[in-house]
Amino acid sequence: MELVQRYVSAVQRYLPEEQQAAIGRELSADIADKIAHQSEEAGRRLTDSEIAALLQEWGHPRRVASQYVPPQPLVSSELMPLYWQVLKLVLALLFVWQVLGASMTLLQAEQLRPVQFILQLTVGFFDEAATAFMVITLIFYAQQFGGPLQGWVQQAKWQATDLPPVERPWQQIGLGDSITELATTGFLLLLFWYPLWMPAETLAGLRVVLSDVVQQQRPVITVLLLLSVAFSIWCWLKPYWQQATLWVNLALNLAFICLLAWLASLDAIVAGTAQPLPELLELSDINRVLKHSAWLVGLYLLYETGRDLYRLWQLKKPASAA
Amino acid sequence: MTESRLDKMRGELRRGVLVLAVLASLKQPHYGYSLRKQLLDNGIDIDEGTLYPLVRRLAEQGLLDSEWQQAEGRERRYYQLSAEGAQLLQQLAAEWQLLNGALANLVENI
Repeated sequence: MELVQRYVSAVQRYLPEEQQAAIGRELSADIADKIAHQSEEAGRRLTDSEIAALLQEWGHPRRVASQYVPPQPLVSSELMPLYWQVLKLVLALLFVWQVLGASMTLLQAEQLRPVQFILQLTVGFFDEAATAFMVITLIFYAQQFGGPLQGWVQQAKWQATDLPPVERPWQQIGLGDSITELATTGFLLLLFWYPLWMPAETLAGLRVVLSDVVQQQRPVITVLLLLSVAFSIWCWLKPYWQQATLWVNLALNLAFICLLAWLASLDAIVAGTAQPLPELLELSDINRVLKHSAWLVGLYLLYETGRDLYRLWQLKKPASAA
Repeated sequence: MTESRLDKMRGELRRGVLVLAVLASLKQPHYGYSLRKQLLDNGIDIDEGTLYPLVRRLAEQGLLDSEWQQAEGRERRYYQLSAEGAQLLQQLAAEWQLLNGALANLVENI
């Protein structure tokens, strides 16, 4: 019977302390009964190897223990959809926050260090994400003991008429898309308003700055970027394309295309300062790269404009005809 | 349909009626092994790992009464339907009759 005792002890190891004795006692009795009946059938005492085979068939101690006391999930199945939504939203916000933080470091640095930017972004994000993950999971775990969320989810009121009028798969706007837009426009706002937040010492050490002609248009560009931020937040709150949102997106994209075309047509987007540029780097090269980039982004936005027009045309047709 | 999928679905189907089968079997007192044998004799094969924890949980919910007794030189825990369990059994049995009748019509011509 030593094997049985070892088996029962192994099962008890996976059980809560307050239930170990009671379940162990019952399990021992059940196994003893099975051994007794098998011995009766065989007409002799079971050998150790036969008992070992019987226990093998009974199941792994961990599995047996989990059948007596099923593991408690950290988040209940009812709260799981809400948990994922909250987790994704918080992680997305943290990502935007990290992008902005890393961007500020990048812009404040005396030299462009893209690797440092990526490292800071990655390490910073995972550091904050781990904490957020732990805190959110703990909050949801605590709901199982009578927290308000459980009741709120169970009694959540909704009406079919409040559901978004989405008939085509492309009408759903992914959270990632809104976040990318928000992070990009936030970064550009920081870039255009560097004199506001950059320390005077760093400012004085800059080797390139926005050219005068670009700086003169800063208010117009800012308005455009702020509109884009507001639109991204709107898409975040109402994540589906409708005619109105498509028209706004179309208008914003056209405005950005005009802005980018204007930037690409300039002699210089950035100008030099009293500080010399690093060796092998010419101001004309920087401007050429920036202008080519403006063309490329403009072309992409042109594609989006065409796509939005096609989608608007699709929305005018009934879904069944699409 | 693959064998494993069939096994999985059969398992799910049986799990649904397991409580009813156990409660119905425990109108008379049984200890673990004898309960399993009784179910087996009635064509319901449940492995120990599923049956014994289930019986314990039903007892914890007050649906079964239990008592430790000495028999054949060792102790056994005997279970029997409690008053609350008997009431639930009646309700579940009625539900089962309804379901069985409805399903019988549905699967009749398969």
